Amino acid sequence: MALIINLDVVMAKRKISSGQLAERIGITPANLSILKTSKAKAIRFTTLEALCRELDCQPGDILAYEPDE
Amino acid sequence: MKWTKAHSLNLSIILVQVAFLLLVVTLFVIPPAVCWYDSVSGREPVRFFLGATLYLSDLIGFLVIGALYRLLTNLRQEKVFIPQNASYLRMISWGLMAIALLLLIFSFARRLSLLFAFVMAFLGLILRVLKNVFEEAIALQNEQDYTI
Repeated sequence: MALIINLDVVMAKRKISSGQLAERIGITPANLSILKTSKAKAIRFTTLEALCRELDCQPGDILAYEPDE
Repeated sequence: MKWTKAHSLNLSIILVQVAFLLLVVTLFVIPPAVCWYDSVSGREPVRFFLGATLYLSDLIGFLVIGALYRLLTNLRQEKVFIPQNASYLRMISWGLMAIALLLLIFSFARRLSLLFAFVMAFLGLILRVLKNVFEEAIALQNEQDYTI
């Protein structure tokens, strides 16, 4: 997939667990896991905004684009 | 009493069960009915041809009713837009098309059968379109489920 989710990297930097983050942004740990493992088909602006707020980062820190080979 | 979605679903399931019973009864009624038809039609006998058409249609009818019952059971469990339901609709559609083909073949003996064949083919076509709509809805549901 061309879009890479670097959520686990940002979470590791902020030293925050999946359970804590899921609770703070108001989604289930199962949905956060779908997001982390790049299985998600889309992400809502509200979710992205909450992630950026809680992880104190920019959307570009979480999402990266890599062209397919 | 307020008529709810659950009541409607239960009524559909009961009707499907009644249809199943009618198909079972039909299995036993076909031989005398075919003989009776030959005796009153006053035309060349079609006992074997008509009997074979009706028996094959009846057997396909069991598959169709089975698929309908499982589809309704899934709906009752609130499993609506799942791939299984689309395959049940596909099965029902092909079942109706197969019956239409049998009736089309029988129309070489009795022209009136062409009318029933057309009705069956038309129903099959409607269900095929419904199946396509279901597949699209399943794709949308899948996307919705994976939107975080």
